[in-house]
Amino acid sequence: MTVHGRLERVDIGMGAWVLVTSDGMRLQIDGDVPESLAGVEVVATGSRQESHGFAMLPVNGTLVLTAPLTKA
Amino acid sequence: MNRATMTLAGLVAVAAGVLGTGWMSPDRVLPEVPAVVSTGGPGQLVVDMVDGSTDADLASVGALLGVDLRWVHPLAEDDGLAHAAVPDIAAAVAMLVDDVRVEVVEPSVQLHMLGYPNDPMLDKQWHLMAMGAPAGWAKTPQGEGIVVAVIDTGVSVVEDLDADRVLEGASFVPGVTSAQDDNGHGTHVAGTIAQSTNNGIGVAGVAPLATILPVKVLSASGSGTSEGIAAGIDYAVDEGADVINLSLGGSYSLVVHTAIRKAREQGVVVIAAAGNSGRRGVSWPGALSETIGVGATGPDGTRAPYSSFGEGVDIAAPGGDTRIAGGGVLQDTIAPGGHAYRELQGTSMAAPHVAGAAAVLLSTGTCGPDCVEETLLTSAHGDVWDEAMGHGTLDLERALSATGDYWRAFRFFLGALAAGAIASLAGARKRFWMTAAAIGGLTAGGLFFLDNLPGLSGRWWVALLSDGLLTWPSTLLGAWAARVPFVYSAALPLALALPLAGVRRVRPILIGVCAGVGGVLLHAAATQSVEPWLMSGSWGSAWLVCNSVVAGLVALSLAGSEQLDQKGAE
Repeated sequence: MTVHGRLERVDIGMGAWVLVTSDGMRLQIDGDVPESLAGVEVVATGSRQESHGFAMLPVNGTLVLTAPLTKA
Repeated sequence: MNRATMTLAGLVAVAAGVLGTGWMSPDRVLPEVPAVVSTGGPGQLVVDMVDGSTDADLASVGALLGVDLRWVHPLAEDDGLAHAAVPDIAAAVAMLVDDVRVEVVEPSVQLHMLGYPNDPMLDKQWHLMAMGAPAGWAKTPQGEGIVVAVIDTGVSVVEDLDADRVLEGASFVPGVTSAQDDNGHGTHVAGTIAQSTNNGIGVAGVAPLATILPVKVLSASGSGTSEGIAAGIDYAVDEGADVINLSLGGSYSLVVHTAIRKAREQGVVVIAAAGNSGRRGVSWPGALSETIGVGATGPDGTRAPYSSFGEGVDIAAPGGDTRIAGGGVLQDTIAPGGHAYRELQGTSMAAPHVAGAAAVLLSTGTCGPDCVEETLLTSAHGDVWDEAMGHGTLDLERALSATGDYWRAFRFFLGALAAGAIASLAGARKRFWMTAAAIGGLTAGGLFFLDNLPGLSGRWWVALLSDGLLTWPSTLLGAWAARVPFVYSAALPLALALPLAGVRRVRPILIGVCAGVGGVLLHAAATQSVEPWLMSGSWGSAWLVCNSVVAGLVALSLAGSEQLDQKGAE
């Protein structure tokens, strides 16, 4: 799936990335995210899974990236 | 009835007599106060000015030394305490020792609280102090012999983590073959549990002598699958984990639930984080009844803002609050180029404080898995359960006190009653069965109150006398000794009774020892607090029960012999 949204860095544990879409969906990102993308609108492509991890955030699932993030 | 009343009176008299002895004020024996030695070279000088000294007096003394002498603290000014760094300590002391403006001058001395480790960054670990970790360092085996599985992003050996206490482990992340950490989360969690402590380096951990089993189930970005987590839990159980720490969570998974249920059935204590939503609703598996769900507190002891709350929170522990300077949980973990001491926050950081506490309790050998769970919750600071803090905040000191005092007292009275009851069957004189009861109590529970008396705690002989005879090997040699099969067995009663059964004078003592040992073995089987080598699970319990029966039979046969001898004498 391909999703548009803004990247948020969450200070929990070693830190986690959450993609917030315009309709309020929150997806934790599993994959490489450059620090410079914090707060940036991006396009993310990946497969959506149930969320299991150390972040334990209120999210709608995890997006496992299958391609590098690009700026929207 | 009369006999039973007298038995009870005897027990009370024994306890009161021993307590009375403990409270007597002994003659004090004090060492000679040593002279302060000033070596040459640079250092910190402490100057105690005469009372009423002013800033001008301080400045003039400082000018004499050629240094900037300052009050130790604004509140120390009234007492005249000042200090300064000087180029030559010995010369500065010589210069001021006869100065009429100065009461005392000496080099500054680093003092450490007794029993405290020397890790230089310990003073930044408010979280270890808040949960009572020092009690674990001071008077327990510190988790030795206990395996704690860290099911996480993996664990890497860093500067302040003893490589000998980290097993190889395994990875359940597809495409990753090693249990090495590639994120830093798992190593940080492992540090809270078993960071090398009192090694003069970095920071401390709750149970520094525990063994870490790294189980990698989360990827470098901190996510994992339910099947990977379940497989990791199964692996940890198969590898002999005593405690499992799950600083992870998410949606409910039946395979994860099943794996945890099996782990509990095997006697593994499972700790899980409550989640970081900051909302009502605890993450799975933290919300399961089979796990101890851990919420997080900040440095002020209240719920951290990110900590999930609601049904499933069993206990709260320090998870940190990085909005406050120095408010995070500080441990050693991996970092680009090596390692770093990092402050993190999260219920992930709270859970390993509880896992470490569980390891410490288990290593004392007085508390099995169910007892550990119950004790952690009942000893937590809190009046009634609430959705933010569960049963309250973790307090290892109270937990240790609860298990130690309660069970030692319980064993004392168990041994005393068993011995008294068996001895009374002989129909012997009051003195006979009272002696047996006293010896039975001491054999089983020792002078259980002794180490709580002021000024006695921390001495090896007090530790020895404060518990029953069967704990002596582990107190003297380490926790491993309790697992040698012949320690928790009927070996001691048999060794004493076989050669001495015919000596009437020592029969009440023998009955006391046999009944006391029998009671302890039965108690150990019931609480699963001792697992002899090569006899896991029900085999270990069977060994303990069989030996308890043997000890009891020996005591009964001694009582029978006494009865026959009495009849013969009459």
